[in-house]
Amino acid sequence: MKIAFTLNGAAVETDAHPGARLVDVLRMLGLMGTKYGCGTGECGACVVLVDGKPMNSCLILAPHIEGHEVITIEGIGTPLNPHPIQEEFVKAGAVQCGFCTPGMILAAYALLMNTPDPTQEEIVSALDGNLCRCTGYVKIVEAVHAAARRLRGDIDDES
Amino acid sequence: MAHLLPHVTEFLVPSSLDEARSLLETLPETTMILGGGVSLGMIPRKRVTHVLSISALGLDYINIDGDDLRIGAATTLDSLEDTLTSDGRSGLGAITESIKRTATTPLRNRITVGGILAGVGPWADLPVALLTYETTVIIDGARSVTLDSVMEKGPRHVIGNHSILTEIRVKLPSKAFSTFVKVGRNATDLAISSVAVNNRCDKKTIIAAVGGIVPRPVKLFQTSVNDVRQARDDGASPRFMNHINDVVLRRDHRASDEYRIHLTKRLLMDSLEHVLNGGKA
Repeated sequence: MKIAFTLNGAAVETDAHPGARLVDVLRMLGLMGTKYGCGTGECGACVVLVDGKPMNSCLILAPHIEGHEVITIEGIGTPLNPHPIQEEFVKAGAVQCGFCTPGMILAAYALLMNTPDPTQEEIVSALDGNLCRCTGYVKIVEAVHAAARRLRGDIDDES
Repeated sequence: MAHLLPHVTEFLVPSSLDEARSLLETLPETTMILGGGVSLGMIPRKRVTHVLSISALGLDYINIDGDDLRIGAATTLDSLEDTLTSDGRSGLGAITESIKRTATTPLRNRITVGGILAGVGPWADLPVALLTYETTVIIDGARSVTLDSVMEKGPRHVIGNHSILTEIRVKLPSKAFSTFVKVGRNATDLAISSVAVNNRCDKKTIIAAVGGIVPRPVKLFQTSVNDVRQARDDGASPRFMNHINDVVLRRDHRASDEYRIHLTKRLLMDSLEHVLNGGKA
């Protein structure tokens, strides 16, 4: 069936099986940043923003996205022009195998868009749906703190 | 990667309740009524051939009208939590706490209130809290049944195959102190045991409900505040606590029956103490 939605700011119309997962449709469209992990909404590797909110794309039926706005990791930064959150993840060493990173960054992005000065507890809560088996989370939380400071303009871009 | 619903041939999005009901009359038994769809991750439904989404029925609303809280079935947990928090109304502590303790942030952005009640499982947190309030469930926008009966008989039996759960109504207490507690293996785990207790100061009664240990959340007891105070002051094991021994436990590989009963009693006693002392309003 045909599905029309907004993907990273551009109108998209595509064909999809009515029982397909959104993550599969996104990857079929060439956006490989969204990962398929557990398929049950537990790991968060597939998190994308739907109408600005982080959601598990492995549990969204593709037709349910009709008329909505989806943002994937490719929609917030590029290798040549990364988003400050992406840069801070790299600086902090919050990226190891990288499989969870797109979901982590989008969850952090949604938090910082609504809460520019989050507490430690708010960051941990916002990332509660994203599992990382490599880093132990400390560096990830530090990276989100650093990105928040930078997005607020509290520190220089090059610091 | 496998499709979430591999055998679905039609995905229908009716724009009115009448249209939805007409479609349900003609669709096969293998039709699934879909809210947020989160339960699909836990319960594979390989037999589903048709999906009827309630997303365009205008059921995404929360109205606080006098002492009635009316929640559309397609309202997400995240929206409900935001509204209740910003409204600042007291006496709803158990409801907001049960939402905060449900799953994870991305899932709460997707889970619908109607989906939790219509597809209720042993671990559902919100119904445990709602059972301690006067909560009714509206079916097809007209028929009203108590949440107690939905939980007791099972949603499929009460709602019926050709009907849609459309709204949840909670009678707001004029004064209440309530709490919800849950124990799992970690912060986002499904409940091994969950307890909600509501001290209805306006009615001088205390209502307790439990989840996790039972196949579906259940109201455990309703007793007078004086009974609870008396039992506490006497230091004896109160009579109303014996109800916990009557519940039919579901199996749970995470903990023994004895442990779960003991845990639930402890959660109940702590929660009763909490609401007697005015706990979270």
